Amino acid sequence: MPGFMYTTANSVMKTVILVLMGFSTALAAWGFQSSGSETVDVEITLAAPSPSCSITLTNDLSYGNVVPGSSSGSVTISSTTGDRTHEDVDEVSGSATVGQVEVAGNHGTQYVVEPVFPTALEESGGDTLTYSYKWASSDAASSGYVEFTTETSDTNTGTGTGHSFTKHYRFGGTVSGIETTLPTGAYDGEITVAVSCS
Amino acid sequence: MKVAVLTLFSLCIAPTAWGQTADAFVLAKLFVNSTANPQCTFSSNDNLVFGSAGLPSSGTTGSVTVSPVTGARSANNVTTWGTYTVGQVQLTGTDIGSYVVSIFLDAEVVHSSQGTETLDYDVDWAQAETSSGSYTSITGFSYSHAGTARATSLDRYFQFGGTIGGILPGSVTGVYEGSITVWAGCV
Repeated sequence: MPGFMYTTANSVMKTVILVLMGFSTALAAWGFQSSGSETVDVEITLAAPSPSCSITLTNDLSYGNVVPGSSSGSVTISSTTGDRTHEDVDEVSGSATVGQVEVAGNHGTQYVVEPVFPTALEESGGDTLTYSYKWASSDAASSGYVEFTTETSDTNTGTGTGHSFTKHYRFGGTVSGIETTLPTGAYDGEITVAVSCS
Repeated sequence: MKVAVLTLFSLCIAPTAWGQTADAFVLAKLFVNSTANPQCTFSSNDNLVFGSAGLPSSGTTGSVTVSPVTGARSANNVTTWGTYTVGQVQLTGTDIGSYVVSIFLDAEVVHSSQGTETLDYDVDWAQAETSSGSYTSITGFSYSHAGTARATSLDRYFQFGGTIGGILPGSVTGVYEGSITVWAGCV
């Protein structure tokens, strides 16, 4: 390997001269009848990237169908397992799903997840059922959920640049006040889940 | 490349004083010069772009590598993102028996606006017969091919990657640039 082919920054000017001499010498001594050259630029960008985060809906929260009993009843979906239980209703049917979202982020030192829950589910005519929420989180999508007790938000810390964050949240709770006096039909509400990162 | 040389010899003979006659001849000769005229040139297809890298955590040194063989990017102790490309040039030529390809570069890339800030750069390169072909690593800074017969046409692709290292938690952010000069001589 010729010595002029690899240089350090301290010898940039010297390098140019040596290289040019090297070309002409090589052409003459080796008898090249044609030659050509090309430059390939080399580039890298070092950056402290801005934190980013996103939230993706996995499942809506659905309690299925319920037939009221003789007294005020309730239906509960576990935020940790997604299991459905009921009290003082005649029948539950249809599929029940626990609400679930996936929160992801990058390059953050903090990821804050903050859901806002309704207090009631409302029927189109304006009648309502009482809703009390439960929520839980896990690093895995389908297992390992731990229920929050009184927290209304979840703050996760990261290491900043290069940090990658993923966490799953489930939403369940109890719908109560199910009585025969209420009109039949769908009762809806909306849980808003926000994530912020910094 | 073949060169044709056409030489015309003309001869005019005048009648003699003795009333003799003679024919006049015009000779035509063709010489074919078979001396080869090798030509080789480069064209640049892609620059070498490592993309973006974050700074490493305290106490560690980071590096980013692009493989000239696979074109893949990998990293140690830093996160990478953004578009990256392996560098590539194409060597084309005609009437070439042998050729040498050499590369010239500095061992570092320099911050685009703060010239005293540098990162280490260690080149790796490889060659193949087709652009997307199976690339073979080249050791050192020169590659030579000695042909047993002249190729009427030559196509060789050279890919450039390597490792940018010395990325520290306190490294100045921004764009770092360098260049590789690729030179070929052909006979």
